Amino acid sequence: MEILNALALFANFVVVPATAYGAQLALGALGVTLIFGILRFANFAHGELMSFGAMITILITWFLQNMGVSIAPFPTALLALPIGVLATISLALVTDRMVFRFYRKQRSNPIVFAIVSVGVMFLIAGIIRIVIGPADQSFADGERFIIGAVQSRKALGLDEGIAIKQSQLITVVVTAIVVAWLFWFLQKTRSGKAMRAYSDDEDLALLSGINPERVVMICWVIAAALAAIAGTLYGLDKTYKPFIFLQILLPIFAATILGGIGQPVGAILGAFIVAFSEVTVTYAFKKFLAYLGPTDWAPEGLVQLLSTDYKFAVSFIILVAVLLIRPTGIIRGKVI
Amino acid sequence: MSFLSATGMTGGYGGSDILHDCTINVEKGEIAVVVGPNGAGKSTAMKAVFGMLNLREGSVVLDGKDITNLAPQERVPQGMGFVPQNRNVFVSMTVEENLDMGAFIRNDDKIEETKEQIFNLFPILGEKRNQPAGELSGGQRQQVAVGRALMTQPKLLMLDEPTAGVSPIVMDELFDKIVEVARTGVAILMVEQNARQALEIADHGFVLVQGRNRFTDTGEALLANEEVRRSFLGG
Repeated sequence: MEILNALALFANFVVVPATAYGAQLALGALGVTLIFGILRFANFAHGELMSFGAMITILITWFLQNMGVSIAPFPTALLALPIGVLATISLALVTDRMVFRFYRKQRSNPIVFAIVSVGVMFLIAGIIRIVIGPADQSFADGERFIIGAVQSRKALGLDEGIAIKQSQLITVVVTAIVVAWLFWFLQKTRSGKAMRAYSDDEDLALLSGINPERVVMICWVIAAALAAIAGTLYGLDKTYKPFIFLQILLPIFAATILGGIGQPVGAILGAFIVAFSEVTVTYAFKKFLAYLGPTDWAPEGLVQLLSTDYKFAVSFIILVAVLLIRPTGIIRGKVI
Repeated sequence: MSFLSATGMTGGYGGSDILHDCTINVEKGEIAVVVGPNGAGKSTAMKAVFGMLNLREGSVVLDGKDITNLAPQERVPQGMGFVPQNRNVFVSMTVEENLDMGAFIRNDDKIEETKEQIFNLFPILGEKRNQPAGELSGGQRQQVAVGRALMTQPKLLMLDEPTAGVSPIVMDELFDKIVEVARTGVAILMVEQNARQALEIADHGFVLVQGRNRFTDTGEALLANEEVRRSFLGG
């Protein structure tokens, strides 16, 4: 029984949150990896693109809440999300048209693109601060838990329960649908194949009559849609904090590089590895070990490898280790 | 006028001229081969025909239409198929997807038919249709590359050293296939290092030296020409 309690505890505090977090990172990392595959640069503005999508969704959610529109028990944000997605796609296409296209025409170096994207990042961050302000915003409504702690304790007959928040389940379900659609799109459709061909060899794609500007446009549309969904899900699961989207770039880039740059499957794999590492390393194992040890015994400290304040150090270590040991990533991708 | 007449081509990659008054003509259903020593501008001449080079003088006329000022990707719909020497397949995509990409500009419903014709021409591609092209051998990759170019149903197929880096047996096979393609009425322009073997299947040969036409004759006549043999074919 003690072992089962330990496992339930672990599932509740590590597996469930890390799965949801991994799914959010995966959506972000997929966008970064697609942009890298097609436009061949590391897009530092991706975090702010996520933030922008979440912000629009929040504004629409508030509007709908004021109007009394509700899809309870689901959060109203799901209803607002399509508009957030459309707004983010428009923003991405406008920045591409006004900024990135110029450098594309110049055939600029990827480093130039990356630095330009830092500029775009600050610009979008500024817009967000002006529109919604720097403070935290809460916009989740609807049922909070799918399975509550008490409920699951009873059902499992254990001292420890496994609680699952609605936002966590929604995150995983939405991610599964989006990822399945994305892979179907890339593998089966004409446009998806054109994207893969362009990512594989730009010149040969041109010889085959593939229009580069169209491929770039589709790429932005998909990356921006993924970003808006990821940002909203992240905000729904935790709270929306404009500042977090600068920090979240680190785990997203770590996941992208760990999985192999330009490799969609790798991005998902990398995202879950980063998420699980982060949550496991910052989890206090005291109670977990107490269950496994002799009765009435407990470790003295918290048995926490790293304080949660340092959780981004985990991504950083993964990033450095991958770049040193296997720069191509798990699935052989491009090297920056 | 020939089906393809590239006349008086003069130009280079921006610096000094590489081609000087170079002329290449190809007829429908015939194989034209460009040979010459290293650095003679063979590949450059072909790139000029395909528009990858800025010509200062001269013109390129395909099927009576002047295409001198078209960009390479605009020449593809005009009926030109180009197989580059290197990086000529999408390595991460399967053989069949490579062929599909070749047909990207086509809107008709005969694409599957063309694909079947290519699988008949290169049976190995049919066997390996679901394998990534990057996993194939050099000779098989060349077949994928030629197949991809044929999917556009070109009227002129241009091959830049199709036998570079393949074994002599594979080279013979590839040449046989190229002859087969020519028999279907496609004009073929080919640059080759293996000059002797290439001239054997050529209807017309162009010997280039330092970007200039040195000899122009039928393949047979060039092979019989004492001077050509001594200078360019090793005896």
